[in-house]
Amino acid sequence: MADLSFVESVLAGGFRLAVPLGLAAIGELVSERAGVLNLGVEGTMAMGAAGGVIGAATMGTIPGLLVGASVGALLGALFGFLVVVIGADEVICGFALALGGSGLAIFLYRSLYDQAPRIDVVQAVEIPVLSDLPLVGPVLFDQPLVVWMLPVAVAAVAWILTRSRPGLSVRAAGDGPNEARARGVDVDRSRLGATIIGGALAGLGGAVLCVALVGEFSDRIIGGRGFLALALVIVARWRPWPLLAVVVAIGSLQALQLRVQAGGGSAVPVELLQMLPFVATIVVLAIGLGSGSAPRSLGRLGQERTQ
Amino acid sequence: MTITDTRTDIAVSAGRARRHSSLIIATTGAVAMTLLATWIATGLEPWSVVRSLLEGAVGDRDAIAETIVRAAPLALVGVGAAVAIRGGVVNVGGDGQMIMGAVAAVVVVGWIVDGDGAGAPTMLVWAIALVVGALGGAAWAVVPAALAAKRDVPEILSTLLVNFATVGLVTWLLTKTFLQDPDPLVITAQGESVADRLEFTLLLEPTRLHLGVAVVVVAVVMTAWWLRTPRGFRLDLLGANPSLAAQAGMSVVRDRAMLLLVSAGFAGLAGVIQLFGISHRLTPGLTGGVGYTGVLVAVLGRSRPLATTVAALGFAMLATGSEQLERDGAPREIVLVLQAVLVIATAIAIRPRPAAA
Amino acid sequence: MTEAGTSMTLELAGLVKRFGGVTAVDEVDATIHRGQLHAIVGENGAGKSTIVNMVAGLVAPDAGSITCGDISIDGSGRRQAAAAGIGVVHQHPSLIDRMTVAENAELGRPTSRFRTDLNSARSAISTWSERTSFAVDPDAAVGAMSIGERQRAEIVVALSWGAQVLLLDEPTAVLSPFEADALLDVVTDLVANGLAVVLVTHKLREVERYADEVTVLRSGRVTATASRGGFSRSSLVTAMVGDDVAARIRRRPKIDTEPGPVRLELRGVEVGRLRGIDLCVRGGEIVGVAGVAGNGQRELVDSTAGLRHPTAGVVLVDDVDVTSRPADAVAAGVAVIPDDRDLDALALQLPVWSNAIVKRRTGIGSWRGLDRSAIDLFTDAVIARLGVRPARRDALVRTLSGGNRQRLVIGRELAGSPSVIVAAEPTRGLDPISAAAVLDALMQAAAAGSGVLVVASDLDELLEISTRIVVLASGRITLDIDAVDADRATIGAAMMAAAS
Repeated sequence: MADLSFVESVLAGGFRLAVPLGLAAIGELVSERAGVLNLGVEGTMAMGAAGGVIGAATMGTIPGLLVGASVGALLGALFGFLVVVIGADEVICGFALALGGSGLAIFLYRSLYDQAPRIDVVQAVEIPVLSDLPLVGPVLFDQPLVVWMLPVAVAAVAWILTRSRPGLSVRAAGDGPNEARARGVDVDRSRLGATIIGGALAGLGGAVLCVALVGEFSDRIIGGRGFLALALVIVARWRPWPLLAVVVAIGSLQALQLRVQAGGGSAVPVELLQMLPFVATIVVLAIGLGSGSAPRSLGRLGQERTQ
Repeated sequence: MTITDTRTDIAVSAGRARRHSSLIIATTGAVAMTLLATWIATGLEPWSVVRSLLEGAVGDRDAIAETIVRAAPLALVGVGAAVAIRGGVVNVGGDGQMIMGAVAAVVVVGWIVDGDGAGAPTMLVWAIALVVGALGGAAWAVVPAALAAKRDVPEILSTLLVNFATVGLVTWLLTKTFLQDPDPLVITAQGESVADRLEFTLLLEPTRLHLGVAVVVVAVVMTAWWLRTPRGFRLDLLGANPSLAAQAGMSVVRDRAMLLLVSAGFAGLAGVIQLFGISHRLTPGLTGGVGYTGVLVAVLGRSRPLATTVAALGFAMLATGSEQLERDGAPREIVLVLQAVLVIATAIAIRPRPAAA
Repeated sequence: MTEAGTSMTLELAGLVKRFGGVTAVDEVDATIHRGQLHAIVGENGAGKSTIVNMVAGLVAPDAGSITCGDISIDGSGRRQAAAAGIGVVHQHPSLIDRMTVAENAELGRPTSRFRTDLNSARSAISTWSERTSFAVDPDAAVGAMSIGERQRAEIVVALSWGAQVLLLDEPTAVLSPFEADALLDVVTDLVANGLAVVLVTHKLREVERYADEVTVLRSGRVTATASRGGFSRSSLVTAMVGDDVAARIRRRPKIDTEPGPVRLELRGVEVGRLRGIDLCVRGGEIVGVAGVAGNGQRELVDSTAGLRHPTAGVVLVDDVDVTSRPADAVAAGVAVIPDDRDLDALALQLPVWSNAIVKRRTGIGSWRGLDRSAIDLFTDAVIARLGVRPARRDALVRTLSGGNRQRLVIGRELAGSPSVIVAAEPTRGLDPISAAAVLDALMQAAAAGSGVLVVASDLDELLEISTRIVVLASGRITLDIDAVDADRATIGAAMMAAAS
């Protein structure tokens, strides 16, 4: 690998680190655009991670990722069913899913493995010519191929939301469910679809983290990424491309922290640097970006039901 | 998603149990299903799981005392969370608030005992520790409260973010700063000995049942009483319809901020009780996730103090029981799953049914 | 798009619909032909909207049939009815305001394509926009449009789907008299060109002017049918409400007491859209505020209750400053009846007694607990004031019907002789008996000395009870005269007055 400048290595690392967080975040964006708040992303990611590890250990990397995404989709479907069809409170169910999913993931993993199974982390693939470009080269074209899942997912979501009819229905479910119902849109079905997609992407994010990037599963592997994703969706004002930018920025912060740690210490203690992504998000929320452009029906599913 | 609109749903659904029978059916069914699924997936026989859990939880006098001791901080956090939920505020930052309350208490008590207060009566030291702990916990909710009041950021999000940020802060404080200094008067993470007077008196030797449990009982009873007064009624109104509450002259934004601070204060208090009564060591893992399970317990108790306490006892039974489970060879995390399933079952049972035409 | 049938007759036969224990639609028959404007009249609760929902395909009938041409509509969804050529414009504009008109038109369209096709939606909208001269821009964001513009856009969208039958549910409820007439003139042109139109309304003037056929509903049943020239206003009223209520309405006396001291005063108030509002309401007066929705009515009501923070001006109740202080407003005796009672005036999940004592600052208990007997006493009085049914203190409010909910709100607000009563759309969605009770209560309160401010879009209702009429347009008061001097033309002109 060529000698990278400081900026290049931070951004490259940042892009890589951003993938699990970003996948979960773009999935949650879809769910929230339909009007469903899913607090359980953390648990879904954990289950995706566990499922991914189990799949990868038995079948290989790609099957592992598929298993992770499928597990996530199942959980998304369960959540959607509870909240949209049955009408249970989304905050309670989401929170329980976050805790229960994390617990279940640990439980399954520890039931099956006494020792960490062997999983090969994916290697970077150097694309000739393109990877020699300054800045863009190492950041985009000298990475494990899995990182491309993030920009592809973001582009797909952006296109689907604006140019497809299911996407239009999802937006309608989020911004005007009563009006949409009056026009004959099956709002419940759109919402259910949205939570399934959200769950699949979160599960995929967890799987990518454990299977492709880190290579193992541990109790706290997700470490708050799921909850962070929720906050970042707000910061990005529920728009896909800004979300990609925000996620990469946060990833770069983490990469910066790791660089500093590896480089042998700094003025700021390492533990405090761990706070950085969360504090940065709080600061951004405090400055006052976000909230105003939320999908209208977000947070009001209960009201729709009772009035 | 403005503050005043969103939280109506959880306040209302968490507070009202539609039919007790549906609640019991739902929870029993959920537990049965979970155990069955576990059996299928991992070969663990349901009956042996239940037996281990019960043995660990209430098998003998020591076990029962242990369960009660575990339940105390959880009940306190749960009741604090319940009060907030009734008003429409969801505080999930309990963990961070607990530990910062404990840290604040340790620092202040350290100053007192170290300095001129060396001869101060133990009761007074305890009282100060409790108050400082509550204030410390409340202080940790100031930023989320301000974000909610000024920028309409939902408390559930800001308390969560602060919580995760606290993890790093606490690790640093306890491993790198003066708090890890082996001062015999200060409880340390390195396992240094502790001045006996900083431990709560044991009520029943040789169990770990301690004075802090009495504090919790008093707090819960007082809260239950308060909720029956006109103030408690206004709280319910705030949670059920903030818009109407504003019309009636209540200051919605200010009251919600107060609720967050109060529930954080409960958590800080619980942190002190946890520290002085059970753990005796200030470690980053002090809380054991009680900040989160406290919210679950409040939901199970449908935001009523006494029911929340019962739910806390139930969860504590699962926690103590799970240690026996671990000894018998099954991963204890199944208990987390059980807890989550119970909460979801409750959520289904208390869901709002469509209104009349 | 539909096949143009030779006989696009819409046939309703023996329609029945029950909700819970209530029969909303009871054996209704009707035939609507192409080139006809068929009016369905009735009061709130007569079943009109239910019929509209059934014909539109949104609700399945319990018995009977709906056929359009040779297609049977069975409530399986909007798509089926839309494919059969039935377009609907609901009472409350149902365009999503974060989308453009074209996007709204694409939404729910009966196709199975994956991609959206905004271009064909755009051209269809432009075509119909021209034919109706409604000037609807397909790429306009609905959120930026006024209520009248949204109404027109919805009609154009329905037509752009190829509607052969157009259902209009109270289309003029939110329009000024001028806009209403303009709308119905265009509809008449469309009818002349072959469209079948079902006009659901309770405004008899419209029926007289525009209807070719009339079907009158009361309590879900057809009580009369007639053709143009075959009915009079009084025969319609009697068929709508029955003899006794009709008589009662005619008999309502006007207030003739001398107005007392000024109870409510707004001086130079500016908030939201409101600019330079100077308004006085004396005890014994009922000031009716007319104006198309969205011209500052919300801000007016909220400021009076102390809920909005004006950028300028003061709000005085009995000479006490209550500007942006809701607690002081309540203490000064301000009663508020908001237009969205479910959202703003009631806690649906709480019982009746909780909702009744909401504004009581004292007398409900102490540190010892809630004083149940005092609360019960007070709640019973609130229930009794307008007769809430069922009269159970513990019933959850969401189990009450709309009429009873409003009775509860008014019973609560009128407790304790309020100094000022601000009522927004007080009879919206109410059955005629509840509506009459509400208006009676307001008039009695005025007679007892309260200053009453009523904001409503129903001009007839305002003219019926007000002693003074004020018109809000573009955030300013453009007219302030005694009711006896007011007529529809003057008021209509004042509503259209642009900001000066």
